[in-house]
Amino acid sequence: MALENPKIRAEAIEASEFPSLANLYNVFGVPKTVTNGGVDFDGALPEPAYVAQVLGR
Amino acid sequence: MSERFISQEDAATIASMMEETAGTANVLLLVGKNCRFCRETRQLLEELHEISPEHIALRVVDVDEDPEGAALAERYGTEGKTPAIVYLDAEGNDTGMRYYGIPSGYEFGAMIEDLVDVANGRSQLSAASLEKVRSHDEDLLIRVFVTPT
Repeated sequence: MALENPKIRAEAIEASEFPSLANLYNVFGVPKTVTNGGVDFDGALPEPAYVAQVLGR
Repeated sequence: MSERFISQEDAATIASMMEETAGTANVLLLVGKNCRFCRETRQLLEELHEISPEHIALRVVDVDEDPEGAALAERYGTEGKTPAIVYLDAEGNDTGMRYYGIPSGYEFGAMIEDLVDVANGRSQLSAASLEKVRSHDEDLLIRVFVTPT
């Protein structure tokens, strides 16, 4: 998604190496996705559902 | 000499995947002093560069030792996290993609796919997803927490 739109930035974070960041976002299981738009969900989704969820629409 | 992380079989697969790409993924690895897996991450990326030198370029910068380190960390917004993998496109422009930590286990495969996409300068999203993603007009930061399983 980041590759296709310069307004989008995508970070993968290895939760056990960065525990303070993981705690900040209440990461209890992976994968967990959070965005600055308030999206917050656990687990993997098929691509169309994932894109819709992350974009908040 | 330390043992290699990537098996010969995997190296051959990765080499042929990268061979089919149109360009080069420029990888910037930021390492630092208090870093659990910087040494291993560096070795992993150096092996990838050796497997496909034409399609995977690598620059390693120590944010604590290198005079340019702090400026690069600031520029790419890595906020002191190391190891930080910053993906730059064939022209050296920021793709907005980062990986913090060592990409091991399942995440290693995901990283190879990222390298293929960056080298090609395009994602593998479906046409419908592409339309949605490209029409998004607000700044969006997506963070995905993973573990090396």
